[in-house]
Amino acid sequence: MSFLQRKWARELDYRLIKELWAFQGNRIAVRFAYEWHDDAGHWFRSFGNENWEFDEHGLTWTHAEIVNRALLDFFR
Amino acid sequence: MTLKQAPAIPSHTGGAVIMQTAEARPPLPPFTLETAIQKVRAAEDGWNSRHPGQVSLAYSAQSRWRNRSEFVVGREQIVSFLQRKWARELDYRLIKELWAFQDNRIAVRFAYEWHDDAGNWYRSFGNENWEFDAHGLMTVRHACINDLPIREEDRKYHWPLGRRPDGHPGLTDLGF
Repeated sequence: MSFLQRKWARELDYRLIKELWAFQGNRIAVRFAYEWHDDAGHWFRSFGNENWEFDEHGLTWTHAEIVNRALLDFFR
Repeated sequence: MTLKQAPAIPSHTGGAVIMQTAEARPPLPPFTLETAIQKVRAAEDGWNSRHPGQVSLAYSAQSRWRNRSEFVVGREQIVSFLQRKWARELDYRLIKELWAFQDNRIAVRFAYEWHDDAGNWYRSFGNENWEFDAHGLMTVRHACINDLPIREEDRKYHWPLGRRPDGHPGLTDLGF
């Protein structure tokens, strides 16, 4: 199964918000947070930073994404 | 911990008003390519010192961090966070690289190598978002990090502990 198919098979009811942090030439840095639950009903908020680099056609050709997740119970 | 801040003294440099205080950490925003690279190298050098108190002085008194899924506020919590970090991450060596900058913000990526007390080595990869106040102190830091187990013979960082020597390859040079 491809990466995204595996991702959304595991991360259920996925809802994402992204925000621009900085840009420079053909590069963009963003941050994001998404909420989801696993098949046992545990909710998570996953935080991440992404660095994107684009070719002249506007397609991402470098994508470094790093995510850390926190059990939402932790915030209650 | 209470930190006293000296009153701001405005001075004129090249037509721009720069607020200088006892706590100022140049270079100050807005950043240029050159000063953003300087800021990134200063942060790398600071963390390679593995000195929590000294490192904390680069951050504003109420600096807000997200490190992985841990939330840290203020210098006192920063110091205790870093003490725990470097008690666990032994023989820590870090390389940072600029990704992008804009006004008072910088985005970087980094990789550091370390081992645990059982002798297992790791290469940890991360992206960070930084935001600075007018004094050049970091007010916001978002860091995402993942730890990759490596074999000791696969280590790429071998310089004597402390500052990475001038001329040592950077992240892109090493293929990271």
